[in-house]
Amino acid sequence: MFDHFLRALALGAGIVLLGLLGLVLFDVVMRYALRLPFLGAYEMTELAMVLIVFLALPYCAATGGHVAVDVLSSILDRPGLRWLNALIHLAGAALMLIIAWQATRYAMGSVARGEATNMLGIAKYPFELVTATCAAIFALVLLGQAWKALQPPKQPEFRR
Amino acid sequence: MSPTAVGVIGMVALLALLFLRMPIGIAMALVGAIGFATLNSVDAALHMLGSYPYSYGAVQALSVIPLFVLMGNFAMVSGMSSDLFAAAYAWMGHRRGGLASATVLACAGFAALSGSSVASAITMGRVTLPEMRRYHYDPRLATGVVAAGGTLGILIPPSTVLVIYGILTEQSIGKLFLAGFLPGLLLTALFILTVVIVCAVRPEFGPPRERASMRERWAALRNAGAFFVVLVATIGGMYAGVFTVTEASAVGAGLTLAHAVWRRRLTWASLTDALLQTVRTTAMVFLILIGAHIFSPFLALSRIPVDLANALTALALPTLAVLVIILVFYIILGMFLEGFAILVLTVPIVFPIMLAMGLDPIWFGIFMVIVLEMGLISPPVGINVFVVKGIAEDVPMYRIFTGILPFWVAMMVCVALLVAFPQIALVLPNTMIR
Repeated sequence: MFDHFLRALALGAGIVLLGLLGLVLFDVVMRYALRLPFLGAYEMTELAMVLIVFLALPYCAATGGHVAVDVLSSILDRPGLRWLNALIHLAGAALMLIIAWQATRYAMGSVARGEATNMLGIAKYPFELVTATCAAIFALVLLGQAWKALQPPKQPEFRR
Repeated sequence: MSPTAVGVIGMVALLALLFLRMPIGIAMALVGAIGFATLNSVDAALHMLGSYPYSYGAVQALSVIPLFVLMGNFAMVSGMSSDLFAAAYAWMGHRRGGLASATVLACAGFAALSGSSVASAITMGRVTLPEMRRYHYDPRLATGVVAAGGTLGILIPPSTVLVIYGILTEQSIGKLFLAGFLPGLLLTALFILTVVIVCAVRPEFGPPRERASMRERWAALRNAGAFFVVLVATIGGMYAGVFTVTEASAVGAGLTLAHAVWRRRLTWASLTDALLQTVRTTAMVFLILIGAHIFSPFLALSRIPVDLANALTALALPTLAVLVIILVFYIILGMFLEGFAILVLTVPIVFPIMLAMGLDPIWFGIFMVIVLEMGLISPPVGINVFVVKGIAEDVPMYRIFTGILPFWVAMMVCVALLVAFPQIALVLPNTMIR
């Protein structure tokens, strides 16, 4: 269930990416064919990037996509070290929760200051709240992995 | 405690967390935030954690990452990668070791569509390894050539590693991409030369197969025509100043998408798969980037990079000696760490040294990528080797590494040529039209 939700979020990121592709191509055509550069394209790209990166972040974590160093796997996978692996996931979860909390505060400050993009005047805070929410979901994924690390081996693993 | 001491403790803690398999981005952000809180203030560190993820995600220039990754994934859907191999195969297959040379060429071609070495090795390995097995190629040559050929992925543009290097060092991504092009061709040529030499010494390693007719050859080449269109539009477009890097990446992704539609290979399943793969890779790269951005203020506060650069320049070593030291240092790191990790960990330290020595930052980016590539195929953790091992399961690890050795030497030759003739990397970016 949760995994389906993460996949749906990532698909959302994918759809935004397709939109971004369309936007940049549209901008190129406008500039060369009609000599009318689309002035909002720059900041729309920035906002799209936020959605693409953060909506996909928890999915990437859940599917084991984040790069880690695997040299000591044979040692770390020993059952006796389960607590250590869980601890590493927990530390990551704690960091992500702090990021979610601080990003929310940052978004609140942005609301107070009335921050918006230059050309189109799009409010920035919804996008900042997306980073906060996705960091919180990322933390949930890491908590789940910490719990899984504590279980005896041979749990079925979620794949894409 | 002195800033330097805090910095050293931070570095050691970071390495420990990495070896405990904490994802690189998280480990850098964690150590960076705690270190920054120690050397500056807790409030400043918290504010950094709240604002950096947004501000380093919302970067227009970085849209090249998802767009170029998307281009590579659409090219996989459209079958462009296997077309490339088929074309190279038709032209070279009848020579001794021809299949292995065709693999190198196809890897180089795929590298122009993809920015990842692992993706190159997986894609080309799945296509070429069964074929080389069928023609009784020695498994050492077959696996070695795929692992080595795959590393061209991050040298020939587009390249995720060069994008990250460009961001960390504030260099033009477009210039870096163009700078990687000729060294990429050089390394391709050196790999093919390696295949020829190996097969001259041990003819049984790469038996020739039947010759394809001229008609078959031209048909195969025409079939791969779409690839050349994409190549000219993206790299040519960037060089001629027709497109910015972002635009080139979008045009490339649009063209490969159109090709997939035209070939009737685009299904709902393949589209969602390509999108999911792309955003997953994007998230992976950005987590590292954001972590590196949180880590680098801490490193700067510790003054370690500046002190180290000053100490090294005070020694007044010849440039070549420093480069050799750095080369050895990277090769050793490459034996234990993953390429991205090495890049984000070392660039903030090594880059000021390079600047102090008056080396060209674009040139150094290319030098560094080739050296990182050598790490990708070095024992014990060369990631491309594991990828190849995953496809050719029955070939023991040590045999893959023996197969890689000659290609490793070829890369060393490439590095030496790059040091002797920096123009190989610099001529294109210096003559590009803006």
